[in-house]
Order: sequence, then C-alpha cells, then structure tokens
Amino acid sequence: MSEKKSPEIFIMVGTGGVGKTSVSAALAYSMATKGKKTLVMTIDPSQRLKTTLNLDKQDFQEIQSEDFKNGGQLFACIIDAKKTFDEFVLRTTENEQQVKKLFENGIYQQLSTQLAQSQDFTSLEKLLFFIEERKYDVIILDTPPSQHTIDFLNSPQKLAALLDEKVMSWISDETENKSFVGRIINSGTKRVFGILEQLTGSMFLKQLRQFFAVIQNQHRVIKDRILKTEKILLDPATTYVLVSAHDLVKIKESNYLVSELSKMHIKIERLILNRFFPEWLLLDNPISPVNPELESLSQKFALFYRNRRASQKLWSSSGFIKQIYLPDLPDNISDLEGVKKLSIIINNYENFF
Amino acid sequence: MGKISFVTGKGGVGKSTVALTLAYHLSSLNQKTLLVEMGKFSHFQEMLGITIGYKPQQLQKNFEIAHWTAEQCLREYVIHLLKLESFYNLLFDNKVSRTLLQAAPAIHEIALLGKITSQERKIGPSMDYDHIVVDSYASGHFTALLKAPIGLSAVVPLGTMKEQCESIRQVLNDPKITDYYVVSLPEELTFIEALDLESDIKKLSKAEPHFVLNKKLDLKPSLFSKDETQKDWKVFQDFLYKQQRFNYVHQKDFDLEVPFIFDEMNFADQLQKISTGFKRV
Repeated sequence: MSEKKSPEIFIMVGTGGVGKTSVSAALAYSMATKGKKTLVMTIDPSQRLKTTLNLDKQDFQEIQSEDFKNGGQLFACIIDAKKTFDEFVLRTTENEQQVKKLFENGIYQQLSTQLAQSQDFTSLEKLLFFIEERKYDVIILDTPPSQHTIDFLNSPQKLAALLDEKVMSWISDETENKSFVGRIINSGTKRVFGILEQLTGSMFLKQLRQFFAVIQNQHRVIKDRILKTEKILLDPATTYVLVSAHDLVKIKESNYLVSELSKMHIKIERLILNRFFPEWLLLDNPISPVNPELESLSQKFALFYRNRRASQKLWSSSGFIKQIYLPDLPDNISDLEGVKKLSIIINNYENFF
Repeated sequence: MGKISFVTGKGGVGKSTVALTLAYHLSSLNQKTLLVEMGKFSHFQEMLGITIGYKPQQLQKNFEIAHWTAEQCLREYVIHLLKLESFYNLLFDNKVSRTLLQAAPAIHEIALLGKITSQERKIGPSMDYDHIVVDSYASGHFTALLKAPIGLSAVVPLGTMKEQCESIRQVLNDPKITDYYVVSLPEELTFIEALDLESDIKKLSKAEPHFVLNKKLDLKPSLFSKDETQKDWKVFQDFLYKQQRFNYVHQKDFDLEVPFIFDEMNFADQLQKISTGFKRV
C-alpha cells in the first residue's frame, strides 16, 4: 500500500445494544464502495465485530468484496490488549533487561491481560499506530457503550496525569534499597502513603513501585503518545457519530452522553438512528393477508412503532446537522450480507460524510 | 444469610427490566429486597421517574432501590477502613494519591463488588436484606468486573487488598449466596454473545447462570397455518416464524421467557405480567 496523508477519523459512540458495531461495519463497507481504503477497529470487549466480520482466528483481516471499486478496500481489526501492550513495550524499550523485568511484573501482567481500563490504552495506542502507518484514507473506531465511552475518551488525561514527573518520582524508587515511605521527604505525602499502605497493604505498593521503576525510563515516550492520542480525540477534524435507538430510555441515555461529551468540548453533529422502522413490517399495507390473525398482529406492531416515533421529540440536542435512519432488518446483522444491506442504505444519504 | 443476584447481558437486551421485575417478584414473596444499579447513569431514574441515590429508598413494602457509583463505594470503604473521614479527604486532596486511585486498575470494580458483598462479609455499614438484585454492567464489562478481584489478588500476594479480594471472591463463588442471570433476545447475534457470556461466568464463578429470553413473541400456531402469497405479508410471516422457532433451532432451555410487550407506557401492568414468569425459576 502506498503512503497517504493523515486519514479521516470517525469515532462511533452510543449506548449499549443499539447496533453500534454493525453500523460501524456498514459505514466502513460503504466507504470502501466509494473507493476509500478503510479500516474499521473495535475495542468492544464483547468482540461483536468478530462474529459479524468473521474475524475468529486473526485480529486483523482484509475483507474482500466485488463492491469495492476505484481502489476501495476494507480492513477490520480487533484490538488484542495483550499483544498491543507487548508490541508497544518491545517497540519503545531498548534495554532487553528492562523488557524482561516489565513482562515479569505482576501489575504489568494484570494490566495487559485482565483489567478493563487497559483496553482504553491499547485501543488508543493502536489507533495512533494505524494513523501513523498512513495506509488508510478512513479509520472508523467503534467504542464501548456510553459510560465506558466517557471513561474511554477521558483515559488519555487520566493516564497522562499518572505519568506526571512528580507522581512518577514519588512512586518509583530506583534505588530499591531504601524503604518506600522512607524516601519521601514531604511529611504530608509521607502521611498519605502511610494511609495508602494501610488501605492496600505493603505488597501492593511494592509491586506498584517496581512497575513504575521499570517504566520510568520510557515514561516520556508513553506520555508523548498518550498526549498525541488526546489531541486526535479532541481535534475538530475528528468526526463523532452518535448511534442510537429511539425508545424513551435510549434517547435519554443518548442525551446524557451528548451533554457529557460537550463538557469535553466534543461536538456530535451526526446521528444514526438504528432500527428506526421494521423492514419486516410494511406499516400501512393496503392489501389484506390470507390469514386475518396476521393483520391484527401487524396492526399491534404498527402501533408500537408509531408510539416509538412519537418519542422523537425527546431529543434534547438540536445540534445534529445530519441524520441517517436505518431499518430493523428481518435477519440480524450477523454476516457480511447484512452489513452490505445496511451500507446500501447509508450510501443513499449522499451528504452525510 | 442474604442472597445476591447479578443480572447481565449484552447492552439493550432489557437487563434493567429483568432486574426490576426480579426484585419486584422477590419482594412480593415477602423477602426484603434491594435493587442496586451501578455506573454513573441511572436508568431506573428515567424508567420510574423518581430520584435515586446512594442511600436505599423504599419503593413499596419490602422493596428498596439504590444507585451506587464506584466512587461512592470507594469513599465509604476507605472511611470504614481508616475510621476517619479526614484521612479520606487527605488521600483525595493529595494529587499523587488521587491520581493513583483514579488510574489504578480494578480499584473501582473492587469497590463496587466490595459494597455489594459487604452484608455477607460483615464489613461496613450494616444491611439486612434477604436479597440484593444487581442490575449490572453489559457483557464484556461484566466479565471485567468478575475478573477484577482475581486479577488484583494475583498481583498482591498478601495484605489487606489480597484479603478483601479473596473474601469478595468467596461470596461471588458461593452458589448458596450468589446467582447470575444472563439476559438475551431471540436474535442470532445477541444469543451467541449471551452464550459466550454464560461460559465466561461459568469459568469465573463456577456458577450455573440462569438464562432469560426477553421479548419473546407469544405466537399462536394458527398464524402459520396458511402460507401468505403477497410479498410483504410473506416477509412478515417469515419473520414471525423465525421467532417462533428460535428456542427449537438453538436447542436451549431458557429458565425464563419474558414476553414482548407492545404497550411501552403501562409500567405497573408490565411488571405484573413479567413477574409471573419468575415463579418458574
């Protein structure tokens, strides 16, 4: 692949269960049909994209289709936290001894394999990696549901604070011989660490200190990368797309998400309403079915969906300048055919992107 | 001894509805029940149209509800352990320790689980519930929640943290105290994810989770007695037929089937209707 300019970034946000992953895949598919080299990344721990895009064995794969013309290509990626972490360490650490020490540290092992927050770091690191590769025209990032989206978007700030020089030097102890608390000159801090030790136990702080001692050498590199990702997340050129359903609770949850993001100066101007109308139900069918029972059931459904449409007025943001309405398909989007079907509908909205 | 039920499933499958109904059902059996919501956003506040806070409040006889954020649980735990509120303030006023606590992996998960299991472990402010129903996180974040005490306990070979993690795990792994409900919809992808979640919970807690199928359409066989000829009706009929055959195709016995409810507005009736299904579990 040839080297390109910086890719366009789309960050897909939304509450759980609205089909964000399927919509992300469909959007990516649609971009590829328009001749763009597109990458869709998911950090959703439930790995829905995996099932949808048949990514069961690998974490990165090119999706083939005859629909992709004029150089359009589609790549899909699932972030493997452990792999990303290890690759990152190997890339940024020159000293083999240091690498070994870090890989053996209990906190590192847990960070890279078990813990929820590490997903945030690894996906941002991977996003930056792909941006710097300059191989793609478009990168679409699927994010975890609502509250976790907010945590995710806040994570660079939290991580950068942790890697602050002052924090680092207080926690780490490169001499390793002196007692942990003994090193701290400031008596206020000494007291605070005493409390922390009482709270967590001395072994935990010892492991933590070891961990920080090892990463201290490259903490500038790490911090630099974290700040770069933060810049990307807050860059006005980065496009945020809200995916939502339109029942009462989902709309209220989406409203909350929009207001939380606006506090972070992130504007959401694009809205995709998924499952807006059922494709398996023609709302005003003029012809009666053979079986009259079927007709009365369809009327019940029609009323249900009309009531839902009435909830449209509950949107508190008037900031959406572009909207897409997607149907509820009779077959769940569990394969590429479903993704393709949605992408055709997205393609009809010519000026969305 | 009180019991704890965690309700989980993919986002949007109706976890909150199932948790609310389960709690309602238990309270109607004369068990003093607390329904707990986790995370920053309160669904029940929207659903029930009332303000819900950290302190449990009564909805009706035997039925209380609370909304616990990790920060609140952590605060309560720290104050409980240190005995002094001023120590807590000291800890959170200090930039270094505040940063550490905010970024430290698993701390928030442990704080939440610590609070949920505190009655059984006899730690912190006393509670006297027969049953605590937790409307918990969706799939991936729920397994991360269960992994937190395991992960942290592996990092710290001994000490207060280790003891806490171990005692939390003991409660979570005790089938006499804790059980799990996995909620799914009659949809292919959701169902596959629910199966994954079920096996993750089995691995992490050794428990056999209950499986709940939400929004199941109650369809009469007569709907399929004649094949529709016109295309739109055929599509509709095919859709219904797939729903009808869902359990059969997937060879799965559901512990509970919650019917699809057409009228979104009438909440009290909804509760009544769904909760009758719990009598089977």
